[in-house]
Amino acid sequence: MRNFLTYLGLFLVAVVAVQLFVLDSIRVSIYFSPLAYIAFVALLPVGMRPVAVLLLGFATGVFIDLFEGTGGAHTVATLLTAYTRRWIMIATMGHETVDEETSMPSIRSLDTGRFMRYAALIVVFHCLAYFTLEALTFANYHLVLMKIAVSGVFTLLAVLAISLLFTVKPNNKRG
Amino acid sequence: MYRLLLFLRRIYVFAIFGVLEGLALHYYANSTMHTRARLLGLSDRMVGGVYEAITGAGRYMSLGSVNRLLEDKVVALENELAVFRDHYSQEALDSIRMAEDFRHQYVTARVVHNSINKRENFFTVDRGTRDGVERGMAVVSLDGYMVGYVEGVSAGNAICVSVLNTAFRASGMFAASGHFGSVSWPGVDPRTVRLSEVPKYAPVSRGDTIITRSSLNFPEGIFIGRVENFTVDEARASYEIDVALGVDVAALRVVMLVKNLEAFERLRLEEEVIGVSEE
Repeated sequence: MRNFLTYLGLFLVAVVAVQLFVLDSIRVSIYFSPLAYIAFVALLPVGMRPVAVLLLGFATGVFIDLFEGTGGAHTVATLLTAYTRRWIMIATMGHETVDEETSMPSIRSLDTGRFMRYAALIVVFHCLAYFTLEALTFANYHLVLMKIAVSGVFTLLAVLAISLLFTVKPNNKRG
Repeated sequence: MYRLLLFLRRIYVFAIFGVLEGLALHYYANSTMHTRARLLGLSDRMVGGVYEAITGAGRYMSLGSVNRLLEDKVVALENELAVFRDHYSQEALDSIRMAEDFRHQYVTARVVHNSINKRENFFTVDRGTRDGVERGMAVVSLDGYMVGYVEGVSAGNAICVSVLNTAFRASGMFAASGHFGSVSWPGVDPRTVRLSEVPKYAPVSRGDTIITRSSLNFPEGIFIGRVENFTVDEARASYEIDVALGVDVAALRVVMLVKNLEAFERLRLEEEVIGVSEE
């Protein structure tokens, strides 16, 4: 268990570092704003208690807000995504998997189709929540939708890459 | 009994969600640009070294130091020139004032952290109070285009509000006619800002040069950009003008910070006498 906590801490640091030092240094367009850090919340073990997911989501949001200078918007959106995560999992993986599976969601633990559907849905949900919150208005919403579409695609790619690079089956790692 | 427990568990998760979300929303709603800049300053102090390493990664070591020398030289000359320029004009007007009493002071800085993809974009530069940087100083690109102004300062870093920040405001003026309006960024195109509240009777045509008007943050005459498009807002009897920015914020590497000494002194005096500050 302690090993797994250490692993989670390192995982959080790695995801935040990818966000800040890799993705944020790419300045190509105002529509390109991938929210790769959501990978941390999305890839927490399927069977993790909802309270733990919420608290970890809160911590992630606070971290990102601190480093991005966004004053709370990431925390609000990440909490919303963390709270909704369980229903997104049920909708894309089915009730049985959510109740029985303990490992982190990945192409290895689920099958490719279900994992892709899950990752896409949680990314779209988070991007929708965050960019709407950032705009704070529905005026010019087509621009916000454009941002959600472009950033959503790159967020999904980042989440897939992170899941391939970092996820492990926690069962094997418990010491 | 089991159902009751399940229900309690769901409510318990929801309650925690509600409390945390309430906290976050409260903070988001009440945070101002200034508090955001201060938090950003704090975090940049923690990881600023990494940002600097990244921005410096593509740069040849020797080339960098040679560049810095040149920049410092340019600024030293600019400062010297400012003394002479003002000394000359003041002598003509008033022989009692001292030569040191010049109006503008320049500092160069490197951009270590920058963004264009948010609604409120800030950038961080590697000079701070140690180098004489103060809140409110204008930020200008090396070729003299308006970039933003300093919002928060620590010993070695300054957090600046980018012109690409929806909360950014400046006063813009037609170089030729002197008609002026308010400059802001609508958050759509990183190469275009909006000049509004220019009276309907002003002569406006495409390609007109827009410069800053003297304000607390900006000295007069800094190049903003050129008129690209314009429409008349009949209800307000004023123009809505799209101005193509002179500066490419995404590609910024080196900037100059300009202190408008006269404006700073005026502000300090006002604060002393009336006890008001900007916020």
